[in-house]
Amino acid sequence: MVALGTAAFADDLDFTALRYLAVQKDGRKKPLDTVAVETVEKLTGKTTFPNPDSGRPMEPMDMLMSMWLGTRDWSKVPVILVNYRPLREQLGLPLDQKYFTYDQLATERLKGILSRIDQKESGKQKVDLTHEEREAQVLGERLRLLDEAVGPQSLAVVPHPSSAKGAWVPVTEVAKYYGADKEAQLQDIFKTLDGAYMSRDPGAFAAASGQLRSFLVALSPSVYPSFTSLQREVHYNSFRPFRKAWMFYLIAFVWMLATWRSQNRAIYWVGVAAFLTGVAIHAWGFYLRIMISGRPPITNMYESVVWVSFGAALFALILELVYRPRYYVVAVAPLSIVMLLLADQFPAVLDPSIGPLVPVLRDNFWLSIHVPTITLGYAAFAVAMGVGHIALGYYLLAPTNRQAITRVENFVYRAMQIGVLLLAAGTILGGIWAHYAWGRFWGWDPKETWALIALVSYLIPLHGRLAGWMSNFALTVSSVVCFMAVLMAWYGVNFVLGKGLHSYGFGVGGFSYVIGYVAVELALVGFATWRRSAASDVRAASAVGAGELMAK
Amino acid sequence: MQNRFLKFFGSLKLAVVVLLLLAMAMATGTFLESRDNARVAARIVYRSWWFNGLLALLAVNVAAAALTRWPWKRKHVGFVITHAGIIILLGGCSAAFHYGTEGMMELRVGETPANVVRVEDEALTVVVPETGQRAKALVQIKQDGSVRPSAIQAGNDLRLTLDAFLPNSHVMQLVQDGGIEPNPALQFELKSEMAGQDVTDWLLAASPERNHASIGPAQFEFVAAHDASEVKRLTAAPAEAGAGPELQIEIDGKSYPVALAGNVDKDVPLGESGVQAHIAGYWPDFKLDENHKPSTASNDPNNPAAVVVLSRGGDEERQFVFASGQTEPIVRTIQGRAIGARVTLTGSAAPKRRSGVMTVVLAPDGTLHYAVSAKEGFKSGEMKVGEPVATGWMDFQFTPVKYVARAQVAERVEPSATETEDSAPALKVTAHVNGQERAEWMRFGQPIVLEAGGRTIHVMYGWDFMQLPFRVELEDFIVERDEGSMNVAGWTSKVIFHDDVRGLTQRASIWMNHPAWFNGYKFSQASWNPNDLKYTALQVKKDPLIVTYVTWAGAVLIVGGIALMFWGRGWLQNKTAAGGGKMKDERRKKQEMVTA
Repeated sequence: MVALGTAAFADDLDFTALRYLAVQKDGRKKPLDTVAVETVEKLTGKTTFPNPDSGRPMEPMDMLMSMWLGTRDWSKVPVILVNYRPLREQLGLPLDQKYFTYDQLATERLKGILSRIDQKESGKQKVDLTHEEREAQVLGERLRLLDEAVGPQSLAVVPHPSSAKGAWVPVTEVAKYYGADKEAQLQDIFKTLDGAYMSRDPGAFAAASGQLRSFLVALSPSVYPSFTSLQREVHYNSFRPFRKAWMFYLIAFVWMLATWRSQNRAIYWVGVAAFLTGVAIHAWGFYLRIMISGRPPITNMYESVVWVSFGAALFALILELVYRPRYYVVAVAPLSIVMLLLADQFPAVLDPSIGPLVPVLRDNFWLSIHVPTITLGYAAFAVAMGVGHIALGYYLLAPTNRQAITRVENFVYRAMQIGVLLLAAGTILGGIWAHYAWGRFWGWDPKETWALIALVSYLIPLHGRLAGWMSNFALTVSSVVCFMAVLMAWYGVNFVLGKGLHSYGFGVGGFSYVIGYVAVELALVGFATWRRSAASDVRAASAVGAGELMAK
Repeated sequence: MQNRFLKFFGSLKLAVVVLLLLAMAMATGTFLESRDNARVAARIVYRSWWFNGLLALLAVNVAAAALTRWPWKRKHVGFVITHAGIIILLGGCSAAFHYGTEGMMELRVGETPANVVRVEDEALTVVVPETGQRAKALVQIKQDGSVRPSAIQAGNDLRLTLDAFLPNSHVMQLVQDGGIEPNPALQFELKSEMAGQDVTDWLLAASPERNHASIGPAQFEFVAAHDASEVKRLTAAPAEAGAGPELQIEIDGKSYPVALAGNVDKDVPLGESGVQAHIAGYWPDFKLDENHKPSTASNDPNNPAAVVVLSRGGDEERQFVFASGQTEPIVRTIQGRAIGARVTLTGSAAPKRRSGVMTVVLAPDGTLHYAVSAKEGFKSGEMKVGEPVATGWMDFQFTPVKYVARAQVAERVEPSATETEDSAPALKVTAHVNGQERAEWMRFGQPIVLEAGGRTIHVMYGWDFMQLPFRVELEDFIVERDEGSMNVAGWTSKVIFHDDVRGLTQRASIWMNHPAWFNGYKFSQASWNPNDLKYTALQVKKDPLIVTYVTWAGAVLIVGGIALMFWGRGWLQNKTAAGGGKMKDERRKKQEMVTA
């Protein structure tokens, strides 16, 4: 599987042994491969970046090695992404390019902006940063990242001699733990590696990398992470399970749509099988993440988006297997794809890197079931919303097909039921967690309040329909409209309100997309309502579903 | 009649209306919290009578809905359980709110065990120590800014009226001319287009707190020099490497140089004079320490001083020499006759320039001088009021706006437009005693003393306190960090509970998500101070345990009830009418959807 990753680059050097070098960084031990991938992605916003000499794609490991060994002056290579045009204007940079050198960027002007941001953030009064300032902040972070990646003193690869939680040191400080003897040996190996890298000698490079790894492992075998765990993470990096999952969802979606009118069972099952493969890979990805991080899987916005995408696909699969209407796959596959694409495309907003947890999230049983439960509730409502769109589609395109509409609306209702149970359970579990974490069951914190609002917003149409105030059509509409309350609880509290005790999940960005989504949905619902009331068979169709159904 | 009454309160339509109103009210609450803060949201929504009335109405509605279905049939099991759960949960939460007590306890390692808990209520306390008069009242600020109560009576003859409230206030220090003592004050403006800054502030040379100001990474200091040489020294270019300070010892018209560095505790013969110089002490950056003993602030020769003992034959003389030129040497004859040497200390270097510091020096003749070190280099010169000086840090410009020689500083509480780091709520009180009145603004948490009608009245507007029936001691506070980084992974308070009544002590560890219980009180880790690792803040809560269990039971009923309602009914009905086949099943499902 490692060979797969490297073959694509057709490069001369083999980085296999170095990939499995453990590095202590940002509060955990990870393979060098992860450091390489994260550094390149964060610095350039791309998964690979062209070699400054040849212009051919440079493997992340190659780039990191060049930085580590200091084979060129990286402060003079345009590798740092400045995507936001107004920021380029503000910094007086050429507007027609996106990548700049460290030296170009580390100017008094940027420092001025950063110090202004610092002042804004250190104040008690929360002042919102402007778009430019947020971008400048990200840029400052990129500069720091490059600063910390260059030179042999940059990566803490030398294990602590005895303590599993002790601080590791870079190769330049090996003497601190292991004496001058080992320092001389390591310097020799490092020099050989450097020479082999510079001369691009595959044989010598492979030998020196292997030697370096075994030397470092032998220093403190009990502290060094096991090969299995490093291998797992390298596999996770190259396998990209969440990307593969959405590809299978896409196959299932296209297949199901293309064979929409087919009655052939075999054709149907092919589509379901593709969807099931997607769900299985998605689950595998989560398993890997849990094993790598050693903690429950949903602790930040990125993980929650990937998880809700998984939950929606899982519910769709289960409901599809129970009722076999094909609606679930067709409705939910696009949702799961969009969520996974969002998670994949916006690392600045949704950070995919695995890091240690903030204190309040650690070491709690209730938390590790509260968050998955409540987000599975979101997922079930996403399913209801997706199938609701199919029902709306019928109202718009085939308003006379009462039979199909009634059937789809029943499926909307099924998904909503799951959502109500899970959201109620999740909110209550949250209260039990809060009892331990914050000393009270309920405290009107914005996050818990919005979870309750979302729950109540679904209870309104469910009761309203029983009261005879709302038709089945209204239930369909509410599956779309009430999902906005879910979005508010999920995204809005963290990214819009930005207040309350759930502050560890706060972030910025994506607001315009969400507003755009809400606007499109409201327009769609409005249009469908108008079409329906304008339709000639309005009386027959809008009679409160009950009587009609009873008559059947 | 009674039936119709019940029917209305148990109706689905009422349920829909109440749920809708609740959802809107809660959404408003969260937006208020985002705009202002949690206390505003609690005051306007969550703790308001109408919101709690709405919750009560929901409870009535939920109960009545269940009662109107009486006699219950099998199919009602899930519905009844859910509704019972909601009532129990609401009841539990409201009991916790009304019967529970809640507060904050702040502890430090090494302090004596405490029993005082700060409660989230605001109180006004009045004490007259001489007469023993005292009174305390909880203060409530209404939505319109009015204060309740409007007056407090302490004893027969002292009445305090609570006149006005400011949600945000700051203490304005007004610098004015016309003081009696010399007190040089300089008002300056610091401006930068690039950083978008424009700050105006005062510097007071005689005040240790206000003779310097930090604006972002830049520092400004204002020094009044005693003489021209000090002006020169303070504005001199950074010290060049090379000749260090040395003593010039003049004896019988001849001058002998003695380098200080390297000669400490050594005897140096002074050529043909026959005098031996012994350097008994040398402090490159002289200052007096807390015991008023000579010491040095740094190793840089910013302000050198030395003690030299001169001896010739049986004569011995001790001289304490300073370089700054302000102070004459202190000469003492130890034995024999005076030697009569004139000792000066030269080569005193200019202060080592710290980058990012601008020094403004007031010369005895009233002129202003400056020295500033920026990345580009060192700059110094004279400055005039109203004329900007470029600092060399980006495009920052420093302008002396106003100079006052005899400044007097008055303090005044003023309203702030927004909440800032230094702002606090303020209350205006008037003391009425013996026909006299005295009004004063007081800031939250800062006690004041009022003199009126011959009384000394202590008044404090701040948090209310409550006392625990036992004491708590912080034994240790432990901060754990992520491996290989300074990132905080967690923190633990190790406490000891002392129950003096029962003569009992108990140790406990409190950390995130892991509270400790003692005598029915629950202690949770609330916050800590990264700058003071001996401090901890614990949330103290007393909920009757039964309330917690009732609340959780309600929660279990709700979740179980919903599950039964949605998926259990088929199973419940199958018990009575087993069988039916798939077709029937399908139809029943459809009916459920309609009648659920």
